[in-house]
Amino acid sequence: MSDDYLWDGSGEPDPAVRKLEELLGEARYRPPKTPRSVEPNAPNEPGKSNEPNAPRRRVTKRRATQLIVSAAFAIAIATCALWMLRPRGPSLVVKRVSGTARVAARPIGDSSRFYPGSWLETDGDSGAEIALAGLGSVDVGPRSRVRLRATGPSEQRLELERGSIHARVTAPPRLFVVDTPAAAAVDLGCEYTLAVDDQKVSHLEVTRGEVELAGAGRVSRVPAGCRCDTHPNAAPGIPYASDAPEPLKRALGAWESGGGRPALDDALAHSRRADAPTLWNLLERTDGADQKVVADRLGALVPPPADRDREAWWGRVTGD
Amino acid sequence: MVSVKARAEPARVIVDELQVAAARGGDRAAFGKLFEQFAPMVHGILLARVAPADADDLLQEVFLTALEKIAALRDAGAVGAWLAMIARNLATDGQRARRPTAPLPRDLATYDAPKSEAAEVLAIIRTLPEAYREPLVLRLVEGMSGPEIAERVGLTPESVRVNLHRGMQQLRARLGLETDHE
Repeated sequence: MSDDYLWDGSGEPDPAVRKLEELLGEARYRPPKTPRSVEPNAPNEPGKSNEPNAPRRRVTKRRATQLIVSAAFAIAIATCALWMLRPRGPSLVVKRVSGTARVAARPIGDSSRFYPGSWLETDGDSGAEIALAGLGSVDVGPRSRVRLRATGPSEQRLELERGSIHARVTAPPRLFVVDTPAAAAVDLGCEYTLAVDDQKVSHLEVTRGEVELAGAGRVSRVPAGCRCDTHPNAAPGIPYASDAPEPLKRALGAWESGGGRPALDDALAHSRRADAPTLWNLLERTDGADQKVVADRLGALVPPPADRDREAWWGRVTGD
Repeated sequence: MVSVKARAEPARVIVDELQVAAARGGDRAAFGKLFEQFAPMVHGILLARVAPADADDLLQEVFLTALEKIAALRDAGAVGAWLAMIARNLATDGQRARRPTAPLPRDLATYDAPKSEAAEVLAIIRTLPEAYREPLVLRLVEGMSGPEIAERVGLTPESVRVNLHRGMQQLRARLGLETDHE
């Protein structure tokens, strides 16, 4: 097959190109639905010429041209400004909590609009609160940069580039998502703090409910009372209890860095009942003999249900 | 021997030149026509470099910059290449001011929203060599043909065709799509 279809749309359609055309067509440029700028030759006042360059009484032709050019530029700039300020569909409400927080580089007040695509930024002394349209709220901490990626009945999606947020969400599971440079935090009905440090490592601590971290084709489930650290270009970390012993955390770090079975055995040896969520997540990341030793240790701490159903086991692990 | 410069549709180029001349004289309707004609191309060039939401914002900046500077445009027939250059510069400036694009998950299924899938593919395109990104986005997203891309952006049809072909090869490999060519 030649690449004629890719080149100019002729010849036999290339299925891959067609598929990509269909998928990516949604990102195509769409003209704004705003009124066009004032058309030339619009009717003037009665008795006056419709020709923009027509000479007027007591006004020289050159002066008239200058006036028209100036007016045209002013109208064009005003049209562009109106277009930039055009209503852009659904938005959230954001309010200043302290200091000078900004949305789209403009200081915000007690009830400012936060549109998809806009960035909310706080400095070292400021904070802000985003209202999630009746589904909860998000406190934005100092030195943070947050973008609203989408807001609608099926999705509320933020991006945390740096800094921290504290989310209290009453939305149905999976409706509220926060993207970070390392992973996406999918709310399953909960309260949590999420931070992104200068190395783009994300740090999650869940205080109520549960959060799912997704990225690099992997998922970690983080229940209340647990934390999870995720590095860029890597799968979400293995969650650990907020009060997990240091040797366990060190062993998990070693295992995630490729420490293999010795690191895994070390982690299991230091695990307690409160660390059962850690072991459950390890079950998902291991196979073969490694998975068996994890299952044995988890089973010793939290006996599995008779049918060994993983979801039911997760319920026991998290005390549901 | 085929002409090196892309002048496949001279009538259109003349129209562009007339509109640029009028726009330089302050004709806002002419500038509006230029906007209508070139907005998809500028949008595609921006999408080849930044995320879709940023592209929408930058599109406005490109034409505001063009409005300010159009009097300095020397070759009215090269308005497409001139707008493309403004778009590339603003996208680069925007990227410097922001963080680098977050790396993609290898398993796109974890981002299961349909619109997110397109964004992920666009993000993959943005990881390709620079010369391949623009023609691919202009072809696959904006729906422009190869000859049209060459004419609008001011490149030779030969180089656009080569870059489209090689870019598509790399994109197939990254997405794991079957290779029908060659």
